[in-house]
Amino acid sequence: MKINPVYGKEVKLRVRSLKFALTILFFNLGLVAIALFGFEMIFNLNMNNRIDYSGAVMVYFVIICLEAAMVAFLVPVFTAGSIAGEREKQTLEILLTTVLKPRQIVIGKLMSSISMVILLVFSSLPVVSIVFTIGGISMADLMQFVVFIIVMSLFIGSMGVCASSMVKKAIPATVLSFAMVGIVCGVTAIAVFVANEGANIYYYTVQNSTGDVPDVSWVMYALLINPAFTIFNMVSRQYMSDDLLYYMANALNGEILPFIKDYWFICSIVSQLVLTLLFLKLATVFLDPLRRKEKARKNKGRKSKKVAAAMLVLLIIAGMVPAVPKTVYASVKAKALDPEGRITIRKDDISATVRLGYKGRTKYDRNIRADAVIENKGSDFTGKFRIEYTRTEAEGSVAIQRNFAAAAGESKNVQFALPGIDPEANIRIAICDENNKIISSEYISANFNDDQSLLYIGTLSDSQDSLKYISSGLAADKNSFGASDEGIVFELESNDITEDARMLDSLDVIIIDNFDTGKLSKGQINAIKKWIGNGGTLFLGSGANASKVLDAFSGTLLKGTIGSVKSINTNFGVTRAELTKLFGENRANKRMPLDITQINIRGSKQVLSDGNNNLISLLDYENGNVMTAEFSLALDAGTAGLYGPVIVDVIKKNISEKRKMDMGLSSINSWQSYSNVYMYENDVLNLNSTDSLPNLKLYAVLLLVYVFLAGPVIYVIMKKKDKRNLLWGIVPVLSVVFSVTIYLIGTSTRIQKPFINYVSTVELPEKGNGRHNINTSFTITNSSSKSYEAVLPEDSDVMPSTLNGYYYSSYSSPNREIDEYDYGIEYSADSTKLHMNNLSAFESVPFKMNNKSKNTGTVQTDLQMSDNKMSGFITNNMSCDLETCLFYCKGTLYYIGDIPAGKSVDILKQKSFREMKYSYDFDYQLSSALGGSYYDGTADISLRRKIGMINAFVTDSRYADTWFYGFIPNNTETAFTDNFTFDEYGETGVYKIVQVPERINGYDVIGSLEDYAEEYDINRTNGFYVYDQTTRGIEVTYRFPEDFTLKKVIYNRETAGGNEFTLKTNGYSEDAFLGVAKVKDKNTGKYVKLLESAKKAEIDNIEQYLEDDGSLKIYYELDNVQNTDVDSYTLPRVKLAGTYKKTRSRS
Amino acid sequence: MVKIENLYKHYGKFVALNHLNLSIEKGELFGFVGPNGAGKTTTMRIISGLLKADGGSVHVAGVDALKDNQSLKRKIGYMPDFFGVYDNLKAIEYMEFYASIYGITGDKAKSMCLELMDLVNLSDKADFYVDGLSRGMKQRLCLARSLVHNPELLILDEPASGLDPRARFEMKGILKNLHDMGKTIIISSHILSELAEMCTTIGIIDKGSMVSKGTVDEIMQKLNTSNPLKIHVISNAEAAVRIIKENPQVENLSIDGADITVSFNGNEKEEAGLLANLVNNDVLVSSYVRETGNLEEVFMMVTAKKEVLD
Repeated sequence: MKINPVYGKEVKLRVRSLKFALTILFFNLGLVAIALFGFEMIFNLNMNNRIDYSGAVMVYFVIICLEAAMVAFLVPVFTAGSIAGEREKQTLEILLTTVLKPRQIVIGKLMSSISMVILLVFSSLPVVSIVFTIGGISMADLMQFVVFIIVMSLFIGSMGVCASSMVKKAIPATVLSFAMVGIVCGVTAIAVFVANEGANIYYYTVQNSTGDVPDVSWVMYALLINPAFTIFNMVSRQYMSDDLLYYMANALNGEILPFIKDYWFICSIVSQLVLTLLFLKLATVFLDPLRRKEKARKNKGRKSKKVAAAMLVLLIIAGMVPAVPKTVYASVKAKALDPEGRITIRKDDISATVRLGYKGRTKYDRNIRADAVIENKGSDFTGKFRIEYTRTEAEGSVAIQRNFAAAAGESKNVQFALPGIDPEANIRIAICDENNKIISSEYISANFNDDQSLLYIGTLSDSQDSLKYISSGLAADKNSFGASDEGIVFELESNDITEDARMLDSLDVIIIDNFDTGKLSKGQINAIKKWIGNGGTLFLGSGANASKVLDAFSGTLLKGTIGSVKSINTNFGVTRAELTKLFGENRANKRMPLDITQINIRGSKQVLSDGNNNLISLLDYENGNVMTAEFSLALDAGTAGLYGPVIVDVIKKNISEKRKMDMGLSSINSWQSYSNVYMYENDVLNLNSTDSLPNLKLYAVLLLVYVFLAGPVIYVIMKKKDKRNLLWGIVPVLSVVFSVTIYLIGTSTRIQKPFINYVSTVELPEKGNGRHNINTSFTITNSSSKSYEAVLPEDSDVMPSTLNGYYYSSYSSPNREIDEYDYGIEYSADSTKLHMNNLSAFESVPFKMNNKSKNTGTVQTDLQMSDNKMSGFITNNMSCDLETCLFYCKGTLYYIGDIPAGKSVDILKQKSFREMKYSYDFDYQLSSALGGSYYDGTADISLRRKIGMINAFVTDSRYADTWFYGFIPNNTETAFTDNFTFDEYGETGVYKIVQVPERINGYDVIGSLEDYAEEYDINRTNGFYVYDQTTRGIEVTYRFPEDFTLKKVIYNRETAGGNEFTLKTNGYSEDAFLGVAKVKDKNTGKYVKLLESAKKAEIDNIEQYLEDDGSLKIYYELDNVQNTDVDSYTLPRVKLAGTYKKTRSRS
Repeated sequence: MVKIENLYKHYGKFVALNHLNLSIEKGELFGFVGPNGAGKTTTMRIISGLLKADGGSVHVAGVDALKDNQSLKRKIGYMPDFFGVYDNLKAIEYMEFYASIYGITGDKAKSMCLELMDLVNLSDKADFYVDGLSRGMKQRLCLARSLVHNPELLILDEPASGLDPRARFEMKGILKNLHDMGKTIIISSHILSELAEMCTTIGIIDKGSMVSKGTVDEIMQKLNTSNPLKIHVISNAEAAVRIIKENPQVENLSIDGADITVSFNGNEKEEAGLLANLVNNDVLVSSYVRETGNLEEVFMMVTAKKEVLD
């Protein structure tokens, strides 16, 4: 092949100076510094092992964008001087009289001018290749960049050469070529902006805000010739896989041709190459003496302006290839749900009546119940019901859909739970055909923003009207929860009880009365049970309908007997004074007739009786409870008018602790608590092992060797041999060799397929032989932006998690298929599929899943505390071994370690760690027990995951002061890890909240003064204000269960953590009460000292100080310690011991 | 070798070449003379294919120079009046670069380039960087450069301008040498004498037209004819004036006492006849002379009052 002589000479000249080698050296040294620094940041500033792999990809993009910018700035400089420079040096004429054709000169000049920048970019490939040690970018992506750089160099170079040929001097030629680049990049970008604004202005003024906004999306075709946009879109596709073009076109109220949208990169480089040829042709014309029009000198300036103007017009015309107008989208016109929370969409014979939440209401941040009744009036139809919502502020969206088949004339119910979404968000519901094409859809503004503190009660009854007193009671009484609280009663139908427990999430209480629960499916009953386990309160009415209501729950949930019906007259156990106190007005206390059925439920306790008859009992069940009334809740109008509020009060007082926390009614700030749980969980899911990270030192050495070799070393060698011209080949060859080497070495650490981080937890059943329910939070992360699918068994209750939050969007979205969303979940009869699509490389998508484990059994704790000594055994009755087991009881953490299946451990033989109960101290306690800290970057990652999970558990279950936590070894078969073919990293934790009876001196210990105050409960204390730092004296009332009589208080000078209290010399005390506690002598009315800080005390005759109702009032007089440290006001850890009237059944 | 007919070129309103006709035979060393702006460079650039003609025709060695640019360029070697050289190139590389344009590369190019450099007495400068050479050397290098493709016609625009006398002398020698080798050469200059010594033919151009063309002798001849006769009579001046006036070859005359200046366009024989006539009519003639001019004078004359020769 004959080398273009001009090119040959120029490259020979360029390689002659040492500058050539030094340019390669320093350019690459700079990039190496950026790459290594970037990677070092990602790997070693990894607080808590949270290695952000996407950072590696960012490093790649930073480097390629720098290179692109370099090319964009250097190429005009080099090319603009090429021909004008020859002209200035007066060498051009000679060239022109040779047989060289102007075309050859132009091409030679272009090639030689861009060869250096292309060589530089090529020489940097090994540096860029460092991204292959992590992944996220494929070789093809890198090749695409190289193609882009070459095309951009040619394109910008052709403008530079053209300018150089048009203008006589180098400097004006440089200015002109920058102006041309500016026009190509700037004018096209401005055109899009102007078109966008123009369309809006036109819409608001000329169209007077009616109709559709004019479609100006055709202006986007101008961007085809904009190299800045080409790389922008390329990066966007490589990294984010985001449909930038779609969103831009949408913003311009139209669409661009699918072919151009799909092959934008190719179309843009082709159009840029066409323009390159045009510019080169133009340059040739200007260069050719026989074709160039001689200009009279005085017209010179004006003419060049004309030429420039003509160029500009040419550019704009080239940019604006006519577009085919398409459907125009205006901004979303969302519809509201009807008062029943319904909306119907239809297409031909298919209609779907969709319900969201209960009557369209859902509490903020709760799972949302979504269901649709699909009616098919036509022929057999197979399709999908879909809900779509916005995921991120970048408007990515998520679809959840369930497949259905409705035969002719059939109606089908399709249901699923949605994660809590932004209350302002619009969601879109759609019916799709079996090919996933949307056939009918509607946007809904659902406004799911009910306050969490609202009490949601659902009633299921054949006589709903008779339960109306509940809603009036909720509205009337606001005292026990505070003035701002109220609740809503939803009248449910049987199909409102979903088979997916999460759909019931919004409801706090479900009342079933005068309803045949036999009509509920097994799935519905199980869902209710699961919902109770998650904190729900089921309230069952009985009376004459006892069996009808209770039978469906007997066996697993309720065990006991149902007696016969008898008629009584009752005052519901309240005195007139209490009624008045409760409701703030004078009320008659009249006994009313009531039919009751004696129901004896094992393990339950009374929550309402009238002294003679038990009226309502309560059974704790996991995190929730079941209340059973021995009468029908359908009260007659008279009874309801008088005693309805009492029933409502019972409901309110007995909602589960978990719900109280959710609703912000607990002393523990629920919001903070939950965000901490999320934080820990999120942290754990973000933990990635540092073991498999690339060895940066190795790559640093490799790259430095390469950079010096490709730079000065090979230069000097070639200089000695006088073959420097070969450098043009040697440097790229070296580059390829080192790139391939790095690529190959990087294979060992490169992440090449999606991986999963998970946190699975199992709440161990009390006894139970069934398979465990596993709750899993997991994230799927792909190493690239490529689409992929994950298939789960059909019974996998998987749904998106809200860990990353959801955002409000007012934009409409196109009619997409399921695999065109950011991600989609498709539930079908035989599988659940996760379609992961428009996601960035290493973007983690969080999900929650609920499924059955293959493991069975539980951990049995036979423990008791007697006179401050713990004893007993913990037995692993599970079908698998347990590791890293911990037991915590009232401030003391026991490290047990492994418990093989079927084995018992003696608690006395375990290491114990006594510490403060507060979380920051708990961290210390935990790290002492486990020999590693969550915050210690060098700790074993598995251990750190475990610590994070225990922290999340402890944060979530702070009210539990006694619990067991252990882990199922990873090699044990668990249901979760069976589900994927990807790599999974995570731990499966099992826990159980247990109770350890405590006895002192033969008395039952009911707790300590501090426990009582800390677990704020209106039934226990008004101790909420005891922490008030400004008050030095305060009286706290302690109320005890009716069957408990306080006999004795014991003060062991303990601090909260159980350590011995010592008064610090500086007057500060550490986590202990400082001051005097007094009780009121009933006879004299004076306060007498009960105990004082730092002095042991045992008071036996405490009964004399009890109030009539058995409660104890203590007046705390805090020492005048000058600081306001909360800990100084900590209540004394005084054990409250007494006797129960009768033996209670204890779980 | 070169045949120019009715060549016309204008820059806006300025007519650079006004129907210029010129023909140069093979083997001629043609001197192209004219004042600055007369159209020398324009003509040469058109012949070299660097400039578009507005009319007329140019044939070089049978090639239509205005149409077949590529063939033309193989036939000519051109050295512009002002030119530059590439920095960072050695003299030999400079030569090789141009050789490569004509597809001559490698050792063949090297030996040929060295030969050509020897021809222009630069063989000892082969490894010198071109921008370090003196102007005369650059000029010679450029000349050598224009010979890389062994052209039939060499067009040298002011090759001696800016050179010191020694360099001019050397350049002359080289050109003579080239001429002896059989090359047709066109050299332009605004200094006629420079060309007179070596050119076989000379053409004078002014205001875009050829005013004169011929061998040096012919030009001198023409020049002499155009000079006035200076006659100094001692007596009988009236008779002398009368006789002179009667001669049909006399165009005009001026009398300054005994000095008569006559514009006489006759040849030497007629000159002698006039003198004989005067003498026969008793006019005592003490001096009867036609001034022999030099090329410079011709040049000055031609360019100052062109109508003299019309």
